[in-house]
Amino acid sequence: MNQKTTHFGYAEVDWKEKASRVSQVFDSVAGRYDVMNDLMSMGVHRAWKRFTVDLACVQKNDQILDLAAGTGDLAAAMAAKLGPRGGITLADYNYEMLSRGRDRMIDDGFAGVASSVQADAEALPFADDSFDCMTISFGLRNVRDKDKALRSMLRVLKPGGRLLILEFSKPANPLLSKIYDTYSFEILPRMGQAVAGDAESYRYLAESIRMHPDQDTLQSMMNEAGFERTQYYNLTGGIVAVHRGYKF
Amino acid sequence: MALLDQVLGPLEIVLNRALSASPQALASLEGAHDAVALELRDLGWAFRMTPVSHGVQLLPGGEPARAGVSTSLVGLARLGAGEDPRAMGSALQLNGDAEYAERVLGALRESRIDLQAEVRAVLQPVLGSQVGAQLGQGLRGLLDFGRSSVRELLLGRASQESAAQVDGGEAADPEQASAWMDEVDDVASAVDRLEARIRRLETSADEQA
Repeated sequence: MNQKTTHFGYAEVDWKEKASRVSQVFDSVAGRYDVMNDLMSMGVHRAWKRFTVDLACVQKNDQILDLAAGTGDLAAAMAAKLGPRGGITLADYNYEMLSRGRDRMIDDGFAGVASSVQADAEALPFADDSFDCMTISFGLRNVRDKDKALRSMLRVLKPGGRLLILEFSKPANPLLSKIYDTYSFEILPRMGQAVAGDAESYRYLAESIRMHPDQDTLQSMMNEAGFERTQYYNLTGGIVAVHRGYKF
Repeated sequence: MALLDQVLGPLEIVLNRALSASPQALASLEGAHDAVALELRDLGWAFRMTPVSHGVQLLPGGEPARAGVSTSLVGLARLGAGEDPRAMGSALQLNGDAEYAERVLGALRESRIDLQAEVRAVLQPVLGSQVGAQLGQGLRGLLDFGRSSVRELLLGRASQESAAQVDGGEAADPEQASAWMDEVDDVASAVDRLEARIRRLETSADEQA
């Protein structure tokens, strides 16, 4: 019998193995995650995230789910826009990352509106129609079954709610693409080794970005899952894209 | 189109920021789900603005839309300069459900957004300061135009159901309108005189009988 497999970067791994291997990567980098993000993107990731938060247009009473919340930088920016009747739930598959996000929310004074849940995006442990707004930032590419995860996200969104996906994508310009490849495969792993003491995890990062669906493919997947009025915005020449879709 | 793609996200953000700050403006969009399109013919830009729970969504392309405004950079400049849209002819065309367009544009007006400054700031990096300022001023003129003239210009003519096209070109310019009103007065006076003559003829006929 053929075993079900999936991608882990460029490697083909057993379906059940991917989640634990991704978890190992994030266990390894959690402590230096924010520093590495600043270094790798030369600080631009802050602008990408600010754009995503602005586009989400959080309302005071919104119930928000931040998936793959990681160290909680996106969640903290959105929580700042909530009123006392609003709420934000941080969810992450990886406990190490989630605990850092939870700590950040407490430290930043958002304990009153924030909660955290260790959860699998493919089977979200929330009731139907629970959230007005949902975000997933640099997390979808680590999910095994993206179609299943998108359907799960749609289920827990309220009618009228929106999903925003911030993720690495495909540069539109071939020259930029070439420069970006060199940077990702030559410089990034060395930077990871120097700062986080872990070249392999950052090699995985580069490979997983290349294996992630491009802008149009992801938009089609969102449509297939049942999202409506989907669209995407290329940022930094398409190195990163923000996809958005609504549930009606 | 690539330029438009770069502009739509930031433009949506500034519109929604203004709408979010005005609960009344946001409330006025409740129950509105259809798009209003805006076309700038000479730039080849067409996008539509669709109300959503937290404001509006801007999508590229002019279709499908319940109502649409089509103009040019020159048209926007004329609007920005305060020109009466009824005198702009084909420089400004309105299609579809005018009442709905007024509702959506009215929400933006209600939000008191400084469209001129906001749009200039958004467009300046991609179109340069001059064109950015011109567009901002023109779009503000479009909102002001909505305040003063959409109802006057359209509601009496365009039935909501038929969604018929109403073209600004149908409206006469002020001089033509004034001359036409003088002619109407002349006709009205002539009719009055004719009625008086008929009454006199009827009276004299009665007396003879």
